[in-house]
Amino acid sequence: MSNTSGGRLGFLSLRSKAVATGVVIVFLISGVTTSFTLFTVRAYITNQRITSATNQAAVLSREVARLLRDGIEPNSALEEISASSNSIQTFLETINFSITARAGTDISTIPEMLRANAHNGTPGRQIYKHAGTPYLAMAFPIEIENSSKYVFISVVSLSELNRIIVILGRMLVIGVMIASILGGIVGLWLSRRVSEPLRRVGDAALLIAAGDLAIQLPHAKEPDLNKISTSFNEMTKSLRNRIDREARFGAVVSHELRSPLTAIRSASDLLDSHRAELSPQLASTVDLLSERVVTFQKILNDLIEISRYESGNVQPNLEELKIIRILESLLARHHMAKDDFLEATSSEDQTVLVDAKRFKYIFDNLIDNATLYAGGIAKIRVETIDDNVYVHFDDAGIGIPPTMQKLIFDPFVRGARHSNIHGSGLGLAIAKEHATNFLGSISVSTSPEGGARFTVGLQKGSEAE
Amino acid sequence: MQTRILFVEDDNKIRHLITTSMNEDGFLVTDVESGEDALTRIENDQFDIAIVDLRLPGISGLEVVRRARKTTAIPIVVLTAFGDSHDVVAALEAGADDFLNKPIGTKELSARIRAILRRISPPIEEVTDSHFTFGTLAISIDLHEATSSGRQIDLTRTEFQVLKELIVRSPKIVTRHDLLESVWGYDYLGDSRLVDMQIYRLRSKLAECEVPESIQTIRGVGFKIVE
Repeated sequence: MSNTSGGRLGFLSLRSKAVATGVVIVFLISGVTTSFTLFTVRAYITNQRITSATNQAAVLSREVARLLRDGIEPNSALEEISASSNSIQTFLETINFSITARAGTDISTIPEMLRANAHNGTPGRQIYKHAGTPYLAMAFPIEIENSSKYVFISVVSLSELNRIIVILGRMLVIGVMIASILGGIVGLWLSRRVSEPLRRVGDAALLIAAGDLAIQLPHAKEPDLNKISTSFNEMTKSLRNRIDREARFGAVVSHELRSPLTAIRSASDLLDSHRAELSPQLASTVDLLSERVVTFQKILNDLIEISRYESGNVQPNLEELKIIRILESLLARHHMAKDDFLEATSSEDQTVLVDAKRFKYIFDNLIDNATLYAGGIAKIRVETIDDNVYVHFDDAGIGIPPTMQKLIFDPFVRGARHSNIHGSGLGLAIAKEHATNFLGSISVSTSPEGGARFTVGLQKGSEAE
Repeated sequence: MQTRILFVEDDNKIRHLITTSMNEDGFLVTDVESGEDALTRIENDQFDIAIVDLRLPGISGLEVVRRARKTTAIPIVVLTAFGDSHDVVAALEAGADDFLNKPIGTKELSARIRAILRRISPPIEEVTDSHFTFGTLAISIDLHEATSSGRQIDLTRTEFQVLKELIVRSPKIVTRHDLLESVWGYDYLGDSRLVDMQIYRLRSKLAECEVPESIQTIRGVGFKIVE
C-alpha cells in the first residue's frame, strides 16, 4: 500500500530518487550492452581459436601420415613434428589402441567418444575440461597403404583463451561500474541544478511560514527556473503588501478607537463615583457600562497587540526575576492567597529570564479564562527541570478535549458553549506569541486532577538577584 | 494641603471629564490644552506633579517634558498610546519619571498619582531620619537636597529618591525591583526601564558635578554606590 508521501520510496528526497533512477538506467543499459558485447566477442574469438587449432592439427595430421607412409616409426614421426608444435600435445593411436605419445602427455583425459569415432573413420573435435582447464581435442584417422590404421590426436589447451575472456569480462564489468558512477555524478549535478531553485523555494516557504515575509529568491540563470523565482518573489511581495495593509488597518482603527474609549471610560468612572446618588436602575446601568468599557478596552488592547505582532513591531524587555516573587505579586493583584494556590517543587526561588509585562499578560489571561470557563484556577505549580522552569496553571474544570487542545492557541477559537462570553478571542493567540517570542513556550494538557493545564516554560536566569 | 496637578490634554471633553473626576477625588487640577500653555504654567505656578499627554498639537508632549525638566524638579507622568515603547523610551530620556498607557480610567490615574507622591514626598511623620551621608555625598530628606562636599547637586524628585535609596542601603546592592517598589510604588513587576533611565540621568548629573562617588552596575543584580 502506498502512502501520500510517495510509496515505498517515500523516505527518499526527490533529488535522491532522480539520481537513483539515473544510476539504475545507466547500469541496466551499459550492463545489457556489455553482456551482449562479451558474449559476441567470446563466441568470435573461441571460434577463431578452434578454427585455427583445427587447421593446424589437420596440417600436422597430414605431415604425420606422410612420415608414416615413408616408413618412419610413429614415435619418430611425432618427434619430427614436435619442432613446429611445441604447445600442442600429439598422440598416435593404432587400431588396437596401442598409443604412441610424446613424453609428458596423458591420453587418458581425452574423451573416449572422440577417439572411438576417429577409429571408425570419422574425424572430430571436442572441448572438454580437465583439472579445471579447458582443452580442445581433435582426432583424425590416418590410413596407410599397407592397411595399417592410426588415429592422430592433437590436444590444445584453451586456458589462455579463457584467461583473455575473463580479463575482457572484468574490464567490461569495471566499465559498467565506472559508467554507472559517472551516470550518478552527472545525475547528481544535473538534479542539483534543477532542484536547487526548488530547494530555495522550499526553504523560503519555511521562512515565510515562520513569519519572514521579506525573503526574496535570487535570479536564476535558466529561464525556466527563473520563472519560478520571479513568480515566487511576486507572490511574497503581494502577500507582504496584503499583510501590511491589514496590519496598518488594524493598528489605525485600534489607535483611533482609543480617544473615544478614553472619553467613555472617564465618563463611566465619573458616573460610577456618583453611584450613590443614582437610582438602582441607573446604578445597574452604570455597572453594565463600566464592565463593558473594561472588556472593550481589553479587546482593543488585544487588537493593538496582535497588529503589532503582525507588523513585526515588537521588542522584548527581558529581565532576570524570581519566579515565585512574580507569581506572588500577580496573585496578590487578583486577590488570590498564595498559600491556597501556589506550589513549587524546588524550595529555592529560581531566577528566570522573563519579559515581565508579557508574562503578566499570560498570567492574567489564564486566570481570567479559568474563571470564565472552568470554575477558576485550582493550583499554580512551579516545576524546575534542568535549565527550565515550568509554571503549570491547573484549572478546576473538566479539561479540554484533545481536538480542541490542538486549536486552542489559534485566534478567535472558543468553545461552542462559551460563545456568549465577551472577549476578543485573541487572548491565547497573543499568549502564544508572547511565550514563544519572549519567554520560552506555552502548551496545553490535562492536569493530574483532570482539569485543563496550561504550562508556560521559562529559561533559568544566569544570576540570582 | 491639596495636591496641585497640572494636566495637559488637547481633547476638551476628555480633559474636562478627567479634571472633574480628579477634582472630586480631592486634587486641585489645573488643566491646559496645549504645550505652550503648559510651559507657561510650569514657569509661573507651583505644582506637585504634571501629567502630560504625549500626543499634543503644536509643541509635542515630549518637547514639553524636555523643556519643563530644565526648570522644574516635580514628577512628570506622561500618557502614551498603549504599547508604544519608542514613545516611552523617548519620554523617559527627556526627563519623564513615569508613564501610563491610554486609555486610562480616572480611578487608576488617581491611584498612580497618590503612589508616586507618597514615595517622593512622604508624610513628614514617616521620616525617621532626615540626614544621610556617603563619602562626600550628603542628603537632607527634609530639604530634598543633595550635596557633594557642600556643593548642591541639582536633582529631580525622582533622582533624589533613587540616590537616597542607594545611600541608605549602602553597602548593600539595590535591585531594580527594590527601587521600583520604594521610589515608584510598584510591586515586583514594574517596568525596569524606569529605573535604568533614572540611573542613567543620575550618573550624568553626578559626573557633571564632578562627584567622586559613582553608581556601579552589578550585572544581573542591581546597583551600588561606590567611592
